[in-house]
Amino acid sequence: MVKIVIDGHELQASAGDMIIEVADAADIYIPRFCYHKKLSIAANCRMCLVDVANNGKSLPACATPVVEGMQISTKSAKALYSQRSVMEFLLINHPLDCPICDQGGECELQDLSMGYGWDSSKFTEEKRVVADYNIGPFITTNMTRCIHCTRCIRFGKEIAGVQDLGLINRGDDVEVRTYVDETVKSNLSGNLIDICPVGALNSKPYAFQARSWELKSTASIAPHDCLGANIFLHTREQKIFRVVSKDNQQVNDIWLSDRDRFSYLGIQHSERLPKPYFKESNGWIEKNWHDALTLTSAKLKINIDKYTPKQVAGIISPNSTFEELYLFNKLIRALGTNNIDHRIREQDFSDQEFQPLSPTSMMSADDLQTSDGILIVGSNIGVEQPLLTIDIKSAIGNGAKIYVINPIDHKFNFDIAEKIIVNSALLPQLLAVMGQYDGLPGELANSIVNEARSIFASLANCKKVSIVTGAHLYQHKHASTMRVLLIELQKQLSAKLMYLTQGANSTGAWLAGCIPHRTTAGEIVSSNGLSALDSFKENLQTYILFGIEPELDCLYPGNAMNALKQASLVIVCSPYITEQMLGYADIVLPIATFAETDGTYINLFGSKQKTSPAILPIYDCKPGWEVLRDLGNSLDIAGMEYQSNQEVYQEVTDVLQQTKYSNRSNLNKTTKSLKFVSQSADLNLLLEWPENSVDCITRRSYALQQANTFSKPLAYINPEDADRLSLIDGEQIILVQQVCEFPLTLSVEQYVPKNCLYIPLGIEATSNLTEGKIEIKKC
Amino acid sequence: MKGMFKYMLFCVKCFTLWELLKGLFITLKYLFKPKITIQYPEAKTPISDRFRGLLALRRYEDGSERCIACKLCEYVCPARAIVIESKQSEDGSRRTTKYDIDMFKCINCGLCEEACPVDAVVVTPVQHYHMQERGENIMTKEKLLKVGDMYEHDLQKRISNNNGDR
Ligand code: SF4
Ligand code: SF4
Ligand code: SF4
Ligand code: FES
Repeated sequence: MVKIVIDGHELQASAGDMIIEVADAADIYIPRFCYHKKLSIAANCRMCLVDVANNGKSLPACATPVVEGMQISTKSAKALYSQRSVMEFLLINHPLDCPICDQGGECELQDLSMGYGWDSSKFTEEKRVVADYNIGPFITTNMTRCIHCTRCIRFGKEIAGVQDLGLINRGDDVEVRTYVDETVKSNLSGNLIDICPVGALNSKPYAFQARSWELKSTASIAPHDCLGANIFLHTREQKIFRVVSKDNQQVNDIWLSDRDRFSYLGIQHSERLPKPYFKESNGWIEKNWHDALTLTSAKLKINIDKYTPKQVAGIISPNSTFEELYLFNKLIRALGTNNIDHRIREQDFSDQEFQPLSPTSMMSADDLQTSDGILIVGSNIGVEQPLLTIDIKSAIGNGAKIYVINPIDHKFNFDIAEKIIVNSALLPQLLAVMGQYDGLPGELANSIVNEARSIFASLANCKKVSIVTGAHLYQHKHASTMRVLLIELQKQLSAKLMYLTQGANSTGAWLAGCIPHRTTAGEIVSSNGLSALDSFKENLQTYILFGIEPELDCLYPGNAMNALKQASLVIVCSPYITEQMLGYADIVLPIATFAETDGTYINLFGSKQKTSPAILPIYDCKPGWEVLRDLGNSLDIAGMEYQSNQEVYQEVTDVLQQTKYSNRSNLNKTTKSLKFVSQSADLNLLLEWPENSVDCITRRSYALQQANTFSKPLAYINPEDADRLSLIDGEQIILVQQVCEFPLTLSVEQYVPKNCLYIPLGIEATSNLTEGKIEIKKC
Repeated sequence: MKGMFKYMLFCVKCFTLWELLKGLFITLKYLFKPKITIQYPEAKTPISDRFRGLLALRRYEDGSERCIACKLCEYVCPARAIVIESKQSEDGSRRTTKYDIDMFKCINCGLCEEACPVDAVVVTPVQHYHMQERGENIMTKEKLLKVGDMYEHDLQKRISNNNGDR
C-alpha cells in the first residue's frame, strides 16, 4: 500500500496501480481515450496527461504507476494546458461531422472537446480523408473519424480472440483497417460499436435512425442462449431502435454477443401475426380474442372427449419465460395428460428419473475464470455461448490449459492445449476411457486412448478443473451415458461441471415442470408422459405448441411435421405465422416476444433475471402468460385467475420454496446399465444449429442472417469418406431417408471426422429430416 | 417658504386647467403633421429582416435537400412542434423520412433556425397564413420544402442581411 495525493485528496493505493485506476476508484475524473478498464494499456492518445509534482513533463495517468508520496494534480494549469494541447492535435484531422454522426450525443470526443478543448482551432491546412470499408452487416466504418486509440485492435486481440482490425502505415498515413478479409469475423464484433470512443465504428442496422437523447432505455435479458446476457432495449414510440449491453459482472460483464445485440431486428418483422387466426372450412380467418379463446377451448374439449387426454401433447420453447412455463405446465396437466416437454433438441431421456431438480451448473463465471484446467466436452462453445469464451480467455491469461473432446474439429478463438476429435458415436467410449471405466467395446484406436489418458493425467494435476459440456452432448443418442460418465469424471477430478443447457430457460422449464416425468418443483407424477420426440413419433391427435416452429426448432423436424400434419387439432401460440404453419396448424394465437412482456429467465448459473416490457405488444398480440391464463380460464381450470405476471411468479416461487426434492444428482445410480453404441459402417449423423438461427426471433433478423455461418444447404464429410463414396467437393447430392429425400451440396472438409455426415438443422433444406437411417445418393 | 410656493403653483395649475391644455397641444401638433394610413391588405407595413413568420425547409442550388436529419431543431424546439424520423437514403446519406412542424404548437421563436447547422429550417417573412381544415396545421416536409422554394430568393437576402448578427 502506498499513500498518494490526487487533487488534494489523500488516497491509499496498492503499488503498481496506475494513477487513472486510483483516480477512477476515488471518483476523480481524468479524460482518456485509449484507456479502457477491460483492455490492456496502450498509452497512445495522451489525453490523460496529469501534472505530477517534481516532474518536468506531464505524465500519462493511464501508464504511470503510483509510488509512495506522489503528488498529482489533474486540474492544475499545467495539466489543463497539456490536455488542451493534446485535444487540439486530436481534432486536427477529425471532421466536423457531428450532425450526421450516429455517435453524436454519446461521443467521448465530443464530450471531452467540450470539457478539455480550446474553443477554436488554429489549423487551416487541409484535413485528411480515409477510405471506408464494408466490414460486414453489423458495423459501419467512417475511418476519417478515427483517432487511432487502438481500442478496437486490442479488443480483437484480447477479448474476441480474432484479430480482424489492425493499424497499417505510419504517421499521417496511419489507418485502422481489416488486414486480409474485408469483413470482421468474430461473433462478438458488435462490441466494437460500444468500445470505439468516436463515430468511426457504428452500428449498421441503426445507422441514421435516431439520436441517443431521444431513446428510452429499458433493462431486459437477451433470451437466445442459456447465459441470458443483460441488455438495454432502446426504444422510441413503440419501436425498438437498438440494443446495448448492460453491465453485469456475474453474467456478461460489459460485453454482448452479436446474436444478443442484433436479434431485435426480428421482433418487428413482417411475419408477425396481428390477430388470432383460425382454419375454417373456407380458409383462414382472423378472429377477436374473445371468440378465439372460446372457440379454442371448445375445440380442445371436443377433441379431448373424442380421443382421450392421453392424446394431447404440449410442447413449449425453452426460451419462454419462467411464468409462461409454469402456466403451460398447469394448463397441460389440468387437461389430464403428462405429455409435456421443452427438450425439443434432445433424444435420449433414459436417465431423466435420476437427474437433479434442474440442470443448473455447479459453478459461476468466476469459477471458470479462475480454473487452471478446463475440459470442453461436446460443445462448439464459441457459437453456443460466445460470451463464455471471454471468461475462458481470461482463464488462459491466468495460466489455464484448455482440453477439448469434440465430435468435430470446431475452431475456437482461444488456444487449446490438446484436443481429441472422434466420431460422435465414439464420444461415450472416449469419456469412459478417461474416467477409467472398464467393460468397453474396444473400438478406440490406441493412440486416442493414450491421448485421453494423458489429458486425464494433466487435468488431475490441476488445482481447479472445470468441465464444460454443450449441445453435442445434449443432442447425442446416448446423452444419458455421457452424463453419467461425466459425473464420474467430475468426481475423479474434483472438478466443477457446467452444462450449456439448450435454450434460454431450461433451468426454468425443469423447475416449472415442463418435463413429462415431474411437475413443478420436481414433484413426481403418477405416470410418466411422453417426451417431445416420443410424442411426435406416437402421432397423437392434439398438439399444443408454444413459441416453437417445429420444422426449424426440433431435432428430427420431419417426425414433428408428420405428426402435426396427421393430428386432428394443432394449437400454436407463436409470435409469427409462416407458410408451413398454415399447413399444419388449426389455430394460431399471436403472442408477444420478450421485448413486449415482463418475465423471468433463469440462466445456467441459476440466477433469476427479470425483463420488463420495452414496447407494448404489437398489433393485437398478447403476452404469452396472458394467453395461457385466458385459455385456462375459458377451460374452467381452477386457480388460473391471475391479475399480473408477478402473481404467477409469486405462486411458483412459493411452490419451489416448499419443495423437498434435493438438488443432488442421483445419476451414479445408473452406472450399472451404461449403453455404448458401436461405430457403424454407415455414416453417422451429426447435427448442429447455425449460430444465428437458434430461435424464431434470431431467424428473422436480417443482419444476423447475413452474418450467419453454417446455414447454407450443405452436407459436410471427410475427404476419406468422399473418396470411398467417390464423391467430390461441391457436388449436388441427395440424402435419402425412408420417406423423404432432400438435395444438398456436398462439402468435403478435413475437420469432419471419418464416418460422419455433418449437416445443419434449423434451415429450410433440412426441415424434413427424420430419425433413422440416411443414405447419400448421387444426383 | 418653499412649500408655500409649491402650493400656490398647484392652485394656479388647477384653476387654469393647465394639464388639459398640455394634452390638447399635442393633439394640435398632430393636426398639422402629414397623415399615414395603410390600406391593409392592399398595402402592408414593412417588416424587419428578423421577422419570424411561417417556417420553411431550404434546398441547395442543385435541388437537393439541405436537411441532414441531425434532429437538433427537434431537440431545441421549446414547443415540441417538430417531429422527425430519419433513415439512410439510397445514396447513403442521412435523410429525413418525416419532417413535420405543427404550426399550432410552434411559437415562432426561431430557435430551430439557430440550431440548424446547415441553414435548412428557417423562419420566413410570411406572416399571413391560415388553415381551413383540421390537420392542415401540420406542415409536412413537402409543404415546408415548397414554402422554401417559393421564398428562396427572399430568404437568401434575409440571411445575408442578418449574417453579421449571428
Ligand atoms: S476505429 Fe475507433 S476504436 Fe478503433 S482506433 Fe479508431 S477511434 Fe479507436
Ligand atoms: S420556431 Fe420555435 S417553436 Fe417554432 S418550430 Fe422552431 S423552435 Fe419550435
Ligand atoms: S432542419 Fe437542420 S437542425 Fe433540423 S434536422 Fe434538419 S439539418 Fe438538423
Ligand atoms: S488514456 Fe492515457 S494515453 Fe490514452
